[in-house]
Amino acid sequence: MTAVLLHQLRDNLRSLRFQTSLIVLLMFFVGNGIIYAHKMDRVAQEAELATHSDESRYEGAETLRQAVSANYKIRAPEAGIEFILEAGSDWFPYGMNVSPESGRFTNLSHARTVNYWMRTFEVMDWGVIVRYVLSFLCIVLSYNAISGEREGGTLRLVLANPLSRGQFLMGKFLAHLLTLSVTLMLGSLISLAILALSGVLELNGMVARSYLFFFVGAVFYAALFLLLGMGISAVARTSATSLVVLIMTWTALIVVIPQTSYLIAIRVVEPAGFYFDQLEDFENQFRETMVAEGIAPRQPELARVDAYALEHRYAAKLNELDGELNQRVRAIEQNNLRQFSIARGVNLLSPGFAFQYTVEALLGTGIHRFRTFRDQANQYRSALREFLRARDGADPDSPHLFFVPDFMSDKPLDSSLIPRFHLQPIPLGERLAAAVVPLSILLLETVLAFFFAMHALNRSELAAP
Amino acid sequence: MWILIRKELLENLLTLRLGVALVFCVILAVMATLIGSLDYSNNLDSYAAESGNLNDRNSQATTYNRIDPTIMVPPMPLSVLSRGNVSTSGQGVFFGLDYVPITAWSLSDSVSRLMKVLVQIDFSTVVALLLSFLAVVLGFDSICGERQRGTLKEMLSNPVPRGHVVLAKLVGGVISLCVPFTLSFVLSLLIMLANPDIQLEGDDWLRLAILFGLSCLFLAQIFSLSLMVSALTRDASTALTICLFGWLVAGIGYVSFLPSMSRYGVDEPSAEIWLDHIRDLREEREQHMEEWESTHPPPPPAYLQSLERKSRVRYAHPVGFDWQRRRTEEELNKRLEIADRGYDYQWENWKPLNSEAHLVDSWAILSPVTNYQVLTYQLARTSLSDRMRFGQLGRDYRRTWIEYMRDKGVFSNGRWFSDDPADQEPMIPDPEAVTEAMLSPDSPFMQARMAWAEAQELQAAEDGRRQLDLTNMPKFGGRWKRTLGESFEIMMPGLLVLILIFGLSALVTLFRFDTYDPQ
Repeated sequence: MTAVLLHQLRDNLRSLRFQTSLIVLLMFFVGNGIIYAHKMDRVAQEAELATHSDESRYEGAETLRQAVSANYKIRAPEAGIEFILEAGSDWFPYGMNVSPESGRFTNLSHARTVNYWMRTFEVMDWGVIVRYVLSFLCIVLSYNAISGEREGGTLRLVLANPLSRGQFLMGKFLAHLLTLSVTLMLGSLISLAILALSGVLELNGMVARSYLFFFVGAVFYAALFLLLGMGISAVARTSATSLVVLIMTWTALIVVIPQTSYLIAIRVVEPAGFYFDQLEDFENQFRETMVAEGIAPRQPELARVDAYALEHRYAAKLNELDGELNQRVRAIEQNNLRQFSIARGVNLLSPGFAFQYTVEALLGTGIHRFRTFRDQANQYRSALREFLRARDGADPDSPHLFFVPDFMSDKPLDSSLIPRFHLQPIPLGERLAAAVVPLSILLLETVLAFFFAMHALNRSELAAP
Repeated sequence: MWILIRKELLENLLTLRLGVALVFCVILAVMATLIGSLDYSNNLDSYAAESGNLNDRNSQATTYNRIDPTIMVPPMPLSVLSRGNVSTSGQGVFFGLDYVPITAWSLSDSVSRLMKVLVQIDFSTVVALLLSFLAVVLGFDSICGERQRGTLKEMLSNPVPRGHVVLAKLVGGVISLCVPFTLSFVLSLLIMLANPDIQLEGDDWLRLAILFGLSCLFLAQIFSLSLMVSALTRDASTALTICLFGWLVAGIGYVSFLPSMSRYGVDEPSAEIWLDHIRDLREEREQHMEEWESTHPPPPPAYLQSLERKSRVRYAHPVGFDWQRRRTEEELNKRLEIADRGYDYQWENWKPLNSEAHLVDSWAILSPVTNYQVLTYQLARTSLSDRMRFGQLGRDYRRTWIEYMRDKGVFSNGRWFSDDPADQEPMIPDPEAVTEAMLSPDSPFMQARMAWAEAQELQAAEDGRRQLDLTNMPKFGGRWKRTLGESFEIMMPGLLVLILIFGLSALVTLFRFDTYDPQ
């Protein structure tokens, strides 16, 4: 087996096919490094501007009243590993507008500049390079692994040696896998080097861990396509047929299936549509009913006479509105997440996305990161309100009409005490749990491909007819 | 010559690889069109729902500030085959007094933002990737492969000019490629025709015919390129390696490579800058109104009491109404002025983003595959440039709409915010007699007046004088679809490159083959 492996390795290194593969893969990784060095720098600059503007909203709150009526914007910082997996960081709304005032709802928005005109394109992160280019290289390297030897008449010669077919297959497979893994490692290290040298990336434990997870996932993914290629090459009568079958399968799996998920998902779960109009209508109606019932705040001086009796009713009503509005927004977000998970389910039929989602889960990015952000951002509003309520409670002069700006304490407030938002990372346990499904699909597919290749080789003719 | 072509045809069509590829291509093309067609129906439904809602809301409006002037257009029928930037959804231009639109939006953009990471398939992608791959597979060993098998020598020993052999290969190859393509195209067309929602109209049929020709030309171009590679190399495996990687870089690489490159070439400015400007403008407006109010003090609060529903004011006292009318006139003029400046700020901010997206389209000519894809978008009128054109028409329409309201005096006669007829009895007929305590919302006086207003409101629904007369309102009638001539104008560079590459590669093959050693 070692002999087969070494022989194949030598063959690979000499072949034009491998050399071109190396160049193409390196080209993509260098491109990735240059593009992301530029992009991460730009995003960091924008984040600085944004932090400044967000912070100024907190600093503008000099009294509790101002703190309650202010509109805060919170954002998730970049994960820092976008060059490995962009995973929706361009499109997921990683920002939230939060107002502690009663009767306002939190709504998700983009954390940074988004180019809607570019929505139909894919990015060029390592995930895309592996999903498309690496799997393609696997096919190009392996499409004539068996059929080529059969056509050249060497298959019969090799198997005349005391060597089982399984050993022959493993030898060839490992040689290909080794060549590709080394190429992949070389490429990704070059990309890392470009990013580190341009100063946008700090090489720390997080990057190393992400790199490791990515690399292992990519190797499994490459193994799957190599085995598939060798299997088909054993079944096919000629190398040309094998190539056509493989490329067509590849296109169907990698390009076509993922592109159908959108439509299937929006047919299974109805899109929420323009829900802002509906929310606005609901809110207007609610407020009009309040006015019609005579529940409106008076001038603070007038209201003091009967200990804010009317205003207490007003605050209670607003609180009711607040609960209802936020509940509706939550329901819509939930609907959107459900719709997206259907699309993910369809995508999982493609090995490319089984790989992508495994690495996304392990790295704690993609939809997992977004879901975490959403949950924590919603909790942040409660924490903010809790803080303001406690502050207001400490002021004996305040009417204690919580979250109605005109009827809260107007004592000065130290704005640096207002709690700020910090995104907590996803714990490793949760990440592993999230990876279970895509990872088992990827492994299962690899094992199936292995048995298919074994079976195909065992039954294949040794010489061309 | 004909014998040579027939030989090529038979050689190509009878191979297993063409059979396999044919089945795959047809299945995927049909699937892509089916998906597109279903998506089209979905989007047509949501367009109908959205525009129906819009019309409902507008027909209920009795004041001009309740009119939503948004213009919406249905999806393009040919987007089923070629989604492009616009996709199969309808488009809308959203604008108002305060906002000058920059671009048209897809009506399906109301689908959640999460879904935007997903890419969708169409017929033209299947042709661009799969059929072009088939062209590569048919062409790469057509010359060097025959040399290796020794058949080339045999053929050239016959008294045929070498040029004829190359031409025969070219024609035979293109015809064999057209078989799977025509099959997929006809089946896709049948799927489109079977969907009653898809109404082909105007020059759509002509465009479909051009799409057919364009696709054949594209396949001929790719085949000719791989034939050239085959003539430039000595053995089939080298030719295959070159062709495969060429196809990968041109086809897959460019999908993500071009946008990344154009992102690199353009500096995206932060949205914060623009949003800060917008905040400043809003403050400026508020300050302007405060200044105006300090020079034009409002009448006492009792004069200003009215019933305010859906930002529509009723039963105000004439004195209060008059003050509000003048205040509104001042405010609307300020808003119109600020809208133009806001547009400048936003465009300054978005222009790089826009040119970034345009760059992808203009750089698409670098790769034969993306060039073809962009050409089909332009032909189907779903390219970015078609979207921006509709946005421009929306901007023009906004001006007409504002002119119309200005002519009717809407901004100054109070019709903007109130629908009261001139002789309307006010909510508080004698404001002089009302004290401040009576104005409290829970006082018996106010409760009684509110009850009166509510009763009036119920009757007002049947009052014809409150209805808006919108018969003369200018409708959006712009030619938002490009004519065939205009489409050709933007397709010209891409078409020229396509033909140039085709011609050049065929010429190179011809010359190279003249001195090709068949040994």
